[in-house]
Amino acid sequence: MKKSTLILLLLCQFTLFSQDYKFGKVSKEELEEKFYPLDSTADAAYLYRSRRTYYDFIRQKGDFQLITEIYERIKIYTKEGFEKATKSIAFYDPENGEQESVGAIKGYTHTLVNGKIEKEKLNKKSIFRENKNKYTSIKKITMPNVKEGCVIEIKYKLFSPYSRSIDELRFQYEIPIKKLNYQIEIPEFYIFNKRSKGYYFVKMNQSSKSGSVGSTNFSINVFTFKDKDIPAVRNDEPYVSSVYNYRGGMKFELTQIDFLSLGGDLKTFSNTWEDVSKQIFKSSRFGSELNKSNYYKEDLEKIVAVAKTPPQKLSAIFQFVKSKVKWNGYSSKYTDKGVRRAFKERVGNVADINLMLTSMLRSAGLNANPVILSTRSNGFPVFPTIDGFNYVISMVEFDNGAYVLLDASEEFSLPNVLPQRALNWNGRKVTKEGISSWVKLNSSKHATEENHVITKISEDLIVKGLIRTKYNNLNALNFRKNNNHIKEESIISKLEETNSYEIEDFKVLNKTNLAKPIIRNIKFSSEDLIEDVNGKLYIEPLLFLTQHNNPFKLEERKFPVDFSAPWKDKNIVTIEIPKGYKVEKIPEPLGIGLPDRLGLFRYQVTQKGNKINAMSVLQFNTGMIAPQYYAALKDFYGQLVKKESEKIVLVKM
Amino acid sequence: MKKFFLLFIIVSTFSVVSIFSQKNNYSALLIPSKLKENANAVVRDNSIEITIEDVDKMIVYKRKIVTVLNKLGDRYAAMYEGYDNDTKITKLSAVIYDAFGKQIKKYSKGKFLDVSAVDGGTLYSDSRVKYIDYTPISYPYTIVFESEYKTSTTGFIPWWFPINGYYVSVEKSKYLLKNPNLISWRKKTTNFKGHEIEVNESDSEISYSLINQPAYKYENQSIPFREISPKALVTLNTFYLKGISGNYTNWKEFGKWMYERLLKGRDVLDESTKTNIKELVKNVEDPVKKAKLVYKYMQNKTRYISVQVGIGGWEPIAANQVDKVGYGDCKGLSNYTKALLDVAGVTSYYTIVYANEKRDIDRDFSSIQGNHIIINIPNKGKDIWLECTSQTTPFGFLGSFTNDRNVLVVTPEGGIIKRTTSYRDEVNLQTIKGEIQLDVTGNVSAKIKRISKGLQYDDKFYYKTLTKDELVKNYKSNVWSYNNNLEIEAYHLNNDKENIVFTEDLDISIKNYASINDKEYLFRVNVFNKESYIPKRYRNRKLPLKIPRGYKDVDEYEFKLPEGYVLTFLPEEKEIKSKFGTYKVVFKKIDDTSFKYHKTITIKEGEYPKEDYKAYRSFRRSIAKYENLRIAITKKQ
Repeated sequence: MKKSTLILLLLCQFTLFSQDYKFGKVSKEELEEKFYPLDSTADAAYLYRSRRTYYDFIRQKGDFQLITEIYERIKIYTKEGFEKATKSIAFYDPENGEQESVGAIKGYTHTLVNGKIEKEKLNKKSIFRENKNKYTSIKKITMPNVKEGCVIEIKYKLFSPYSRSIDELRFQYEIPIKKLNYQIEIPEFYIFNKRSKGYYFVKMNQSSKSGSVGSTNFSINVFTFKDKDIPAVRNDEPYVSSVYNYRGGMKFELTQIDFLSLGGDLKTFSNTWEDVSKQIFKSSRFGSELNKSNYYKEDLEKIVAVAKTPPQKLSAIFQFVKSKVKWNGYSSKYTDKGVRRAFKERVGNVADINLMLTSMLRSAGLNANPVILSTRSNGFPVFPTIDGFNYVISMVEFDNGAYVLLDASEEFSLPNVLPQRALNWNGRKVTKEGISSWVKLNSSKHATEENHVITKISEDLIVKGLIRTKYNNLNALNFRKNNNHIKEESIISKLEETNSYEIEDFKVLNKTNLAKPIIRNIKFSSEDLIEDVNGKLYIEPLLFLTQHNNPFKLEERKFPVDFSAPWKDKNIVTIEIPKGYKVEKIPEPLGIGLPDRLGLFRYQVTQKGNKINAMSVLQFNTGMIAPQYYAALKDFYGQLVKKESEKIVLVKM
Repeated sequence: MKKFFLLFIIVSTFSVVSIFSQKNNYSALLIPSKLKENANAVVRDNSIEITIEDVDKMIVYKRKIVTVLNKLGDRYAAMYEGYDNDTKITKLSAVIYDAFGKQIKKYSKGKFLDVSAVDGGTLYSDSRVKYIDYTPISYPYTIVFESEYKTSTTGFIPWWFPINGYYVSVEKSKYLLKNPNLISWRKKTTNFKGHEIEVNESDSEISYSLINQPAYKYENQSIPFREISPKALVTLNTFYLKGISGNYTNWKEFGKWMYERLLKGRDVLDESTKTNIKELVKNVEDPVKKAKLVYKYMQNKTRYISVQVGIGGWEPIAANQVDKVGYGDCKGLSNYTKALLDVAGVTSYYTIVYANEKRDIDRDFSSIQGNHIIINIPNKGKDIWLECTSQTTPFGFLGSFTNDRNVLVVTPEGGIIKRTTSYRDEVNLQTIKGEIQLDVTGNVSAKIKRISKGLQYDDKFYYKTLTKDELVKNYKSNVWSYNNNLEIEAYHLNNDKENIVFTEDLDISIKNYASINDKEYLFRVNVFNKESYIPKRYRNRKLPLKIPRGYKDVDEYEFKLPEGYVLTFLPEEKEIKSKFGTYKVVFKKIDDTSFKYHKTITIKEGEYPKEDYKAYRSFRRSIAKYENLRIAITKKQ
């Protein structure tokens, strides 16, 4: 008896594994499943996702095209999963130039009605083509008859004349995948680099088969990826730069096209960082843009007539470019209109601006070079691909070995204080000769905030005083970016809304004097800072600067906490106690640290006569905290919050 | 010498300006300072010229000159024009000038970007837009944007809203409507009083112009801008809408037109569906019960997908089509529901409403209005309203999306204006009852029951659709973010759709809740419903106060003190009363180691003069302060 059960079980398992996913045919088990067994919180799951990408020779054109076939079988568990029944497929569709296309779209919705499987076909009328803009079109599909528990199937083909670029393989989505089957078939003429990304890996198997065009035979390299039970990666955690960075996948970057055997050419492309950098350098929208100088000649002469020393020249040119050309919001390592037109029209993308800056610095005799990098939203540059870089800044090196990084696309940036978007690990410096090397982007400068508060408690328990706040480095940049264009009055009411005080006087210094830190002076008064319980007064030593909430509430975290720069907050508060009261109790000091000197917190409250001094320092020495420190970080903050909420107790004399 | 030099500059600046001003006054220097106050942008000269050539031919010419003073003003200089299959853009151009009125950039029609105008909630629409993506290089700058389009749809004559929101002033704005063929029309103007508007009206022409209007400043807790700003509404009595003709002079006729031309015949269902519905309500007599069954059937069968093509923007997808594919937009799903109700023998009507922001269909001015469709079931004078685009909303519940506003009910006999259900003050009730145990280390463990009704139900019933992680995160990060170390130990949610009551039973622990020292043990008594909202301070309030929503919260906690501590003192009863509502806290000692906390807060919906704002703020402030109340207990001697 027992034996036969085992055999039956084995048989079941066998059928599960060998299940062939035939389009248009789903099983009753799939329809009956109430939730995804490995993750009951999933609203939907890919029961099966397959992709086949292969090359197809087009005789009339005499060239290969790339065909990608996608087949998705999606189980929808809940109403929240309904959005998975609508799909948008974007494709390159320029007004001029070769177009991609999407075709052979087919779909079914399967439902279980009274124990019987019913299927509804996707009607052609439910497929729309939207011409999104000059470059992109979208095929939009929505499936019929979608209900909780249904299984939908969609398949389509994407035809691309751009045979040199294979879309990234994606192994992870915001919903789990039960079974995955990808196959990429590449004729021997094309050689690609294959690089994994994210925190999830799928094993690659390689084999080959033969192909032919007319009488020419060649071999085709076949790469297959099979996996099951792939977890979802959802975008719901705080302090994450881009969830895309963490999802598993594989990128393909062309390194070589070799048609020598057929009497054609051999072309090689990037395969090391050096190659990638060189290739970017060679582009007419990069390297040669650096050599153009006529357009700014007159302006530069005026600048160097005044600025004599290298640091003076640097800051004058940096200032000039920032005020001359405004950023249009687009990131790129390549120029858009070109430096000349950008200069004339006073608008450009990041490359227009920073290559212009680099060129001017060079013409002024400084040792300046462009640094190409990947922005935070573009992901880390962990392997050498051209698309891996999407931004460029400028770097000046001095004879004593010191260097500064400059980004003139950001109005409020400073030498060595780059905007947040560019603070992403390492960038690659490219010299005049096209030689490249790594440069660390993340500043070692802490983003700082210092608060000095001097207050006096009156006999009617109103707290009045002055706050002097100083922001430096990235904090100053962010302050200027967020506040400089806003009216003072709105800033005041925003502060009053978030803090328990009313502002009587307000002033910000150095708003546009970037060389100096932001200084903000506030004269305030508050009736809400003192608590009177049974005649005793309770006061939080840091007043409105007290941190009441632990920002880290979740139990665990799989990804790093990304602060984007090291930072330090310091508070010094002096409180004069009201007449007729004496101190009954003040909090004990506390000093704690995170492992590996990642961060520290120091806190001290002291009494001197009728004055109480409170001091706190919170410092993180790195912008990025790895997940293994999360528990320690959460606990660290927990202690901090607890300590800061301890109150000074005053009693009547 | 120096003086002279200075003089020269002034003179030359003036002369430059005057040369320019002969052609066009685009220099930002010419803006009167009154118009720069509180303004992020100044509309220098805005004109709309509409020519109605025939009932199916309209030409709209617009010219907009705007000086943008700072970054926040960029949005008032948006340069775009929409078009679709029966609207053709015939002119389009833009010129940008710097602060001194010098031209810096020019765009011809071909330089405009052309994209589809599909918003997030829509799958497909055939509307498109041509626009310019301009990066300002310095402030102030001025744009001159011109466009002209021809359309065969005259159902929408552009209305006049000369003030485009807060923080924008208007030097001049003009509206000119030409009707050379004297096609009969109606018009209505609102809030012209108090604004400098010149009016010229004749049988063949209307013109309005507003001059020197300073910017309005936004203030919290006030009436909607549209209730302050001037506007002019115009509509033709005979018109075309995407190739369909119509005529009406009142809501009754409008409703009849809509019924005849857009709805009739679109309610046909397949026989099999009819049989299903008849089977479903077979033994049910009560029409309300029937309607409930039908509504549930519809909710289980459909989902919301919006596709707007041609007349599809106005006409619902046929009921049998929705039945087949199982999706539709608000029109399609409402029309489908109505068709099903017809089969079940329940009378119901297609109803037009403005959804989301509370806004009435204008009772006195019949024209194409509204942005959403719901269903009305008359039910002997006690109207029932159905939202058909949600799979989870209870039967007959509207929530804040469409509650308490004038709507147009479309019957075969014509249109009728009715008002949807309102949820006032005490109806929006939340009660929390809880037992709270404190322990010697300062930890809290509590069992609470939170019950929500009315609009407070509307706020929470979606909790039921959250996953456990999302729900716990919501409690920790939103609902009780002021309680650190809060953990949900167990939960049970109940969405009683029949009675429209949402109940949450929760076991909660909070570590280190109390502050303890050698003498005392202190804790905040309002553990689970702290109302710390204080309206923003205005030194000089200008607009009336509006409390958009009333509610009542009742909290009743029974505290059990930790081992070894006794109650020495309980605060007095506290009551704060005002015309905006009441607040009351009562403590009751049970014995030496337990007591009760009872709090009631009632806030009344309403509109009050601006002078009351200060009093409202101080009312909320007193409450917020008392919500932080802590008490001290002492060690047993």
